[in-house]
Amino acid sequence: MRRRLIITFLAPALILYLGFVVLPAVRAFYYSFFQTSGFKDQAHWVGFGNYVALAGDPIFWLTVGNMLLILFVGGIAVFGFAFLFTILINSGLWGKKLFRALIFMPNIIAVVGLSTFWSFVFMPRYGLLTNFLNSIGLSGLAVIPWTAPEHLFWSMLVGLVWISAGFFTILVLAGADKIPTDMYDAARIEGATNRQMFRFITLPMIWDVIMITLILWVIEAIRMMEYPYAFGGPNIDQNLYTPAIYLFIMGFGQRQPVYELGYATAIGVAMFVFTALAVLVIGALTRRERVEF
Amino acid sequence: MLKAHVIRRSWKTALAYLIVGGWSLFAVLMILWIIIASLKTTRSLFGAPWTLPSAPAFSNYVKVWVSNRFDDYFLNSILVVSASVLVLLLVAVPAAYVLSRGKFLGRGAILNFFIFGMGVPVPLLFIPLVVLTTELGVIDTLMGLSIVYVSVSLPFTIYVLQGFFSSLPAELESAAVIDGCSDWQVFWHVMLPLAAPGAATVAILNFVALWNEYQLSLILISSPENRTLSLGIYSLITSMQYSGGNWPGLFAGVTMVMLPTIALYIFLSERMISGITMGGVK
Amino acid sequence: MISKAHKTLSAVALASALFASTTAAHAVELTFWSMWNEPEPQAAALKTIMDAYTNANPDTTFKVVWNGRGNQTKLRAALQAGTPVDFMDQDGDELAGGLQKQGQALALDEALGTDFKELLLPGAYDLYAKDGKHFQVPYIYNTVNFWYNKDLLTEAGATVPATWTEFLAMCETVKSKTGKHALVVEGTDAAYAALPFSHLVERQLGPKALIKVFEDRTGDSWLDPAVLDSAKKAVSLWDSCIAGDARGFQYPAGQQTVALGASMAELVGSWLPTELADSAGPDFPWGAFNFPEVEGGKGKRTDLQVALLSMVVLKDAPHPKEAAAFLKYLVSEDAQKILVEQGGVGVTRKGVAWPALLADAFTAAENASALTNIYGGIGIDYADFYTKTFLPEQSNMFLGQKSPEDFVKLMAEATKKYWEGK
Repeated sequence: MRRRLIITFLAPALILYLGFVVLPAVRAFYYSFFQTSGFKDQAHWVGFGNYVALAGDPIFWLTVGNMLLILFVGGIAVFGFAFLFTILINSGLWGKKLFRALIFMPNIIAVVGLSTFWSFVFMPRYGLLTNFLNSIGLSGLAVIPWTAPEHLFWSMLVGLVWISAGFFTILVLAGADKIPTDMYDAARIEGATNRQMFRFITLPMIWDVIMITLILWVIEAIRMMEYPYAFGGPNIDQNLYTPAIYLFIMGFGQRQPVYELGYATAIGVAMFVFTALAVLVIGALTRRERVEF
Repeated sequence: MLKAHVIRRSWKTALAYLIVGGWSLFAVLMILWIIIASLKTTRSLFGAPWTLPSAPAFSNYVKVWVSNRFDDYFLNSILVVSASVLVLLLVAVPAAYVLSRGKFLGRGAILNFFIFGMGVPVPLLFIPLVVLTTELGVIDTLMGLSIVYVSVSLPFTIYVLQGFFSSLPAELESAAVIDGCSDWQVFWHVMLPLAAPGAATVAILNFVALWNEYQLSLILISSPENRTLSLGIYSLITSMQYSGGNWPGLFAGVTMVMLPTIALYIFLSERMISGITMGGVK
Repeated sequence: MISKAHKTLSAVALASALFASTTAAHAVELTFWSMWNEPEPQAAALKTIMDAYTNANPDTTFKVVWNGRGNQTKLRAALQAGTPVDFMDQDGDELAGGLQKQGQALALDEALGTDFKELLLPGAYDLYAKDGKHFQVPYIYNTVNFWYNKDLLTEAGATVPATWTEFLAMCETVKSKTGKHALVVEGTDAAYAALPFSHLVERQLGPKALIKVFEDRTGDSWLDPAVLDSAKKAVSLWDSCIAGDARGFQYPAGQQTVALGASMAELVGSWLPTELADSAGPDFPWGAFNFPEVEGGKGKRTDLQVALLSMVVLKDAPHPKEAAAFLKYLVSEDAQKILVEQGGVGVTRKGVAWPALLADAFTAAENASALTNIYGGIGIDYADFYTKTFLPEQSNMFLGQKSPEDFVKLMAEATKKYWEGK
């Protein structure tokens, strides 16, 4: 390949990427050292002031706590389902493609549609869950307000897991499909159970896939905004705040006229740092010999 | 002995069907519920959310389409999303090709530099992008929104496409070179046709993602005539405050946004799913 | 003397405004950024008003951008970009804490004159004034009252309560006679959930008491027994007034139960009948009564929490005079009647009757003895404290996750810490 072709082919992508992703990201770091409302007022240089304030802001730590819950509790559930579906679908079910398509389907629907559906599922008194529990005689459980503050986050997480599990099932399933089938045949002849085959063949063979999907999940979980935000309705409850939602509320105002652009940007920088750290940690933890075949 | 084994096996299969089938059924239920909700009245939506409407209220659609200007928003969405996807392909396919098949110093570094972009949280870019597009004079324009869409979609698209290019056999390329093709001809006549399925997949994936996108459009677009469909939905939600809460209308809007993607999905789900897995899983 | 001088001044201002508009060599196009979406009835009413104005003043035309509720936030970006805007509207509280606080709103005292406040319902014009200057023209009026189903109250054989004790008795009666709960709340909407407590504090300690409690930099005012008592009274609503599952209602699930006849009332703004118009139907027996007096308290039953919607002229407006002249017209009787009839809203002009649905709220506004900003007013000048501390902690207390005693202690400490940092 000639140099000229390489440059012509790379330049447009690089220019757009540098101009509209990298440069804004760098500027975000710069803005985070200022205090400004964005209303044409003079921005004050506050140095690390926004970060100091952030460190002492209980709401910020609440959002970090929620982020970690999504990351770990949500993550375990998402990957648990993804592996479960991979095992089940690959255990020789008829209609594999249909199931795969249906499990993935929520990922193509507008988030508002998904979140209002789930709000109606969990709604007290009129909700699907309450009606269902009543109809099977569990009226004790039916009276629990699933969207009350102490349960709200978990109700949100159920919907979130449901959507994300679809996405990650597809990834894990595709990885598993690349494993030569004769390995399973051989194992079956040896009398291995489904679980053993998953543990000793599937898992090691798709280790690299798992690492990549984990990184994708971490990125998703840390920047999570759309689903919890839409689930929260017009005046979102703080139990649902994620760092990204907090950033949005601090920077772009809700019903409360809070306009803190510098502070909001500092939250964004913190999110970036979390992502970088998490990716490094996963990289270190999952460093294993790759299985080549 | 053997019979017990078979029974246990079929019992297990039944359980597998139950779990996978139940989960899938729930997805279908959700779609149906959204469509049914769009045909109800607000009263029956809240009073009896899980029943069928006595008489389907198609007027919800007329209202949203005409007086809420969803006809304009639909056009805007089509325009912005198709233009973005087209430009994205023009920019990303050559870049991904060079980054996966080229041999030059810094190839790996540049590739990683792009992939690193997947880790940049979009909310971090909100404020700088507002400032940047303002400086360039493209804030609140469909063109400005498209440029931003293309740029932020680049990391994922290049990541997936380079995975696809890497999976193509190297022999084809070297054979073409031996036949005397220039590097441009190799790309145009050999690699591009082979890459077409990959390009189609990323096109569909980005189409669906951008079709549903609303965070960036919310901060970059303000004039009503430039609104996209997702902003139309957003304005339906926010006008619930102080104004008649037209919930079935909201679901009519959601259905309008949803139907094109579902139609696309029914025909192209195989391709989409294989596309998502192309980048990482080779 | 002084008022006469002012009158002359304002007459001069008015005359010069008229002069400017009638003799202008070329027509003026005013740019208006609106919080309404085009299909909404309020937008339709504003359109009619602007058309009428252009008819009377052919030199003035309008260019409207119907931004919807995020108007002020969108305007911020537009200001950065240097887009010329003459005037805009938004919730008065949001403007007071946003544009006005940031010095981007034009003081209107000169253009409107000192007597302007006499044209509006009591207290409305002064509500958002800062240091004696007025930056906003409130043109739509929302009161906060208990909005209720009159038929249910009659069915229970109860009457509108004047005192807190009567109020609690009413809850009992409604529950025993109709089997339904008297009240409903949107449990997960922290701002709505702050209404009972903020009202109770003001009934006990007087108008604007909540913000005064917060402005005591030592934080000790939170430890006033009346504040603790208000918190306890707010929590006691769960004993018999509100159904337990209302803790989980996400907006608008709670208010829909009023429309469905499953609850009798909600403490909320006078926009409720409009928001519920679709599900309640045209014949719903709407009524409204003020928050009752608390025995021995300083606040009156006629004190109101209100949420007005206002217009502001921007500091850098290309045509500030013409914009102010239009705002004057907007609160004229003719224009306000159009807002009532076509927009279905309550208005700020004295003597212009509100839609029949809102008759009780109109009476409340006419007889208001004092006005406070909605939710107690902390949200304007102390938006950060309000958002980060007051609202979430108030919700914790109101929904029973923290005791009233712990709540006031925590607020005292947080307030002290807040002022130490200033």
